[in-house]
Amino acid sequence: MESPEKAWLDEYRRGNVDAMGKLVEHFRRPIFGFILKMTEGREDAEEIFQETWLRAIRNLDSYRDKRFISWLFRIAQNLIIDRARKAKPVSDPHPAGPDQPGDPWERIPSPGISPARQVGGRDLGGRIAKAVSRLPREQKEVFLMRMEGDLPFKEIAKIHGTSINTALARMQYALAKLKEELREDYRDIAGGQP
Amino acid sequence: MKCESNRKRVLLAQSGELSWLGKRTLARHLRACPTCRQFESDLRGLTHQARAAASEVEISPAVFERIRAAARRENSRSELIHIHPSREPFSITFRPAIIYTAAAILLLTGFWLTLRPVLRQPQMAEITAPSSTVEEWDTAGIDSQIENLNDRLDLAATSEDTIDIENTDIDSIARELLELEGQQI
Repeated sequence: MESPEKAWLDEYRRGNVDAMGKLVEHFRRPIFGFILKMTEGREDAEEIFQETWLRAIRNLDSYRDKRFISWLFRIAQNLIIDRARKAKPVSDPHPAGPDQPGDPWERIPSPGISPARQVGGRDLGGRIAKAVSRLPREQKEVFLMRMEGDLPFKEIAKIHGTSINTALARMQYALAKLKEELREDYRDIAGGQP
Repeated sequence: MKCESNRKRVLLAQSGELSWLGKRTLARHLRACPTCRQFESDLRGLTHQARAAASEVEISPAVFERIRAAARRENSRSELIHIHPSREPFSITFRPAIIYTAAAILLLTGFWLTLRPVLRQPQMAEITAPSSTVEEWDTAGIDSQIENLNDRLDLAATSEDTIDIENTDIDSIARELLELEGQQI
């Protein structure tokens, strides 16, 4: 069966601009959710979302992935990394030593000063978001791509250029850390499932 | 070790990537292992809560408008898109044709190199004959030699009594002639 995104893409390629609008709306939640959480509610999340789509539109001819959403995630991920690299350090809690090139991700503003994180913690969802924001970058990416985009591990591994085993291991570490962070809430979490 | 690989199976089962055999192995393990059962239950609960928490995220309409404008601009710029809905770069579109052509050229070259001696068999004499014989294979020269010997033979046969042919021996001329004709054939 043909996926709706493929039908919309073909429609857009035939000249129907509204089909692109449908695509943007269809993927708004997973892509924007991912960007928002990766940037920890930074103000430029909307800009990154917009730039993701502009790049996708401009490079539509080079789109070869089986899943359109994986391609969008890859673009968004690259943009977030670029922004983090270019951004001047607001607060640098882990300054790179002389022998360490330093992870650009460490230059992202400290989670403690993010407005999104200040509102988090009021409810279980907020507390989960808060705990997720504390995960190391790779683990956070895998976790969010699974949770927000529902991407299979095979696709996540492809986006990261790693093996599926590495993606699975990162997810396991992320889950272990979250369980540790959300120790108090785990009764609710396990009880809240359908 | 068993638990570690089965936890990976739990993750793969949730993402719909586990094979039928993997599902069977996992089910068997989960029946016997309460720790992995807890892991599966925690994962299910966390997934549910995390997805529920990812409530509606609002984006300003201006962002949508800018994306839409870019889409319109890009679409009108590449008019070819209308003609070729699934347009692909030259290298992708013609890749099979290029591969088949290259394979055909290689195959033909291989055939030509392998079968060349066989195809040239009618001229086998040229290949097998010693170089000195090849040099003598000037047909004009042989013809003239034969003609000359024929003349001498005729002369010897008809005018043996009247004309003195130096060292003429009909038999030896005839043998020489036969040899030459044999070479010509």
